[in-house]
Amino acid sequence: MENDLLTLNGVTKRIENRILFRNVQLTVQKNQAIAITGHNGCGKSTLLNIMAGFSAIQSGTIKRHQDLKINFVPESFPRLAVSARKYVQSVGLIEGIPAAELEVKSQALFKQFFLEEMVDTPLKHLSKGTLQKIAVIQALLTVPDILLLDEPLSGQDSDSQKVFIQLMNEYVAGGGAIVMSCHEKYLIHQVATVAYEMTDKSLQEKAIEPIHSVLQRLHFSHQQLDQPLPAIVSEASEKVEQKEHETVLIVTSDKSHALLQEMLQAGFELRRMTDEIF
Amino acid sequence: MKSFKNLLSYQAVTYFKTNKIIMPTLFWVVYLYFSYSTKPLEVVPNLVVTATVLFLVMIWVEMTYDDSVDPTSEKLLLLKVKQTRTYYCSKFAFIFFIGLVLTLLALSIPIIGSFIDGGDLFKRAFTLSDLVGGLLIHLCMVLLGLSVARIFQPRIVKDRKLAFVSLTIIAICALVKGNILAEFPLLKFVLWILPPVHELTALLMDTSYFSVLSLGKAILLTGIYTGIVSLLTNYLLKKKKF
Repeated sequence: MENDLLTLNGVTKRIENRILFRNVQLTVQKNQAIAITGHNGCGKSTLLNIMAGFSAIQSGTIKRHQDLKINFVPESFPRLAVSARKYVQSVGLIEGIPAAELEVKSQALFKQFFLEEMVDTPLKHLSKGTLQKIAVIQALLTVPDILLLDEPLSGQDSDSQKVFIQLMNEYVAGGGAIVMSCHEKYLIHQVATVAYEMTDKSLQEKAIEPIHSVLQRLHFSHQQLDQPLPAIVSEASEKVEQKEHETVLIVTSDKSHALLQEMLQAGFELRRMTDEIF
Repeated sequence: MKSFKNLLSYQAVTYFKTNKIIMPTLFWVVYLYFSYSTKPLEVVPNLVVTATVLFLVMIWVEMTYDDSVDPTSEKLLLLKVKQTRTYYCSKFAFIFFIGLVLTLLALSIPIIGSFIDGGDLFKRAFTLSDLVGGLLIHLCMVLLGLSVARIFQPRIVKDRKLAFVSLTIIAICALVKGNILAEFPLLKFVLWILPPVHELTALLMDTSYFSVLSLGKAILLTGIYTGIVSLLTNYLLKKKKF
């Protein structure tokens, strides 16, 4: 009980006349990383907004630990006209971080996320993935009690994803709590301690299947833009990354052989295959 | 206090970078230029008229500011400040500060006009009490303009066309409230809801000098109206959230 940071008790959310979810029971505790999965539009982001106090509920109660500090990584970071450096410095000062400490901390985070050359570019000119890194950096300037992550890996390059996962695991081990909405089984395996699925307008706990085999990263190229993937891919892959003429699948080694065959038959060309090490 | 100062700095950086302040400021400068292009002028009525125009300019400034605030960045800031009230106060103070700058711009013209070109801008000498009275009446209009526009911010009125049309109607009705009431006296039971712009101008328009009593009434009316509207705005923000 003393580890409980936030409790949702019988929470129901309605948008206009449609019930988004009902009777949600969820307790967030220290050293816990909760993953929430579910189809688009099922209410994962709304649930995070409710926890942060940004969305009203129609019934139920929310109990927050006194002086609870919550930081938030939104799914879409605003495309402001200010530079990444200016934004991070401004919000850090607002958060009460001394200027000298803020400078050291922000520089270290920019370096960790490979952003040193982009810090003076206005946010409105940055790519989705880079903006997502800024979203993560602003949330990591201080150590909150709860970190809410809304699709945190969205668009991030693989090296940054590794840094992110490592930082999240360190944060949880240090007593922090995470609630994240995500689609990537890969991220759930790497970070989550508990998983829930938003299904049939309710939140249901689900087991996290352990990965017994090594993860592999398969890089494919293809001629056609948006070339359709074989049906097996979404089910058998831990994560799918698609760019214009490149598709990267992260798969467990026991499934890589079957996936490779399907992809080659579908006209994809294998460019590279590496082990994924964390 | 430090957090408040940093919030003001953040708002200045993010708002001015959008360039949305340019059009209302340009309008204000052009208006002042034409307003003072004929002479000699009556002191008090002229200051009251410029203050009334500033009421409209402040509605415009507040609308552009509210529309420039990204809801996601606002959520992040609300989590970063220790008290949400500090954040909302800083937003109010930031726009009030812009209003103060526009007021000082308006008052600098009669001051300069009193010294150059024979000092014949007005029909009589421009005194220190005119400066203080002018400052106070302009700041009253700044408060009325920004507080009435704040209630139509996107978090409360999501339909921006509706917000624009509503504010336009409110602004016009507030200016011509006297004429409307003369034609339809029963509307006084409805029109009290409008910002007391007409009441303020009626208090001061036909006087040669600012009186302490009239200015006191104007400040009191402004304080009561701004206070009630601000409480209502904060209640709606808390209730509707995002």
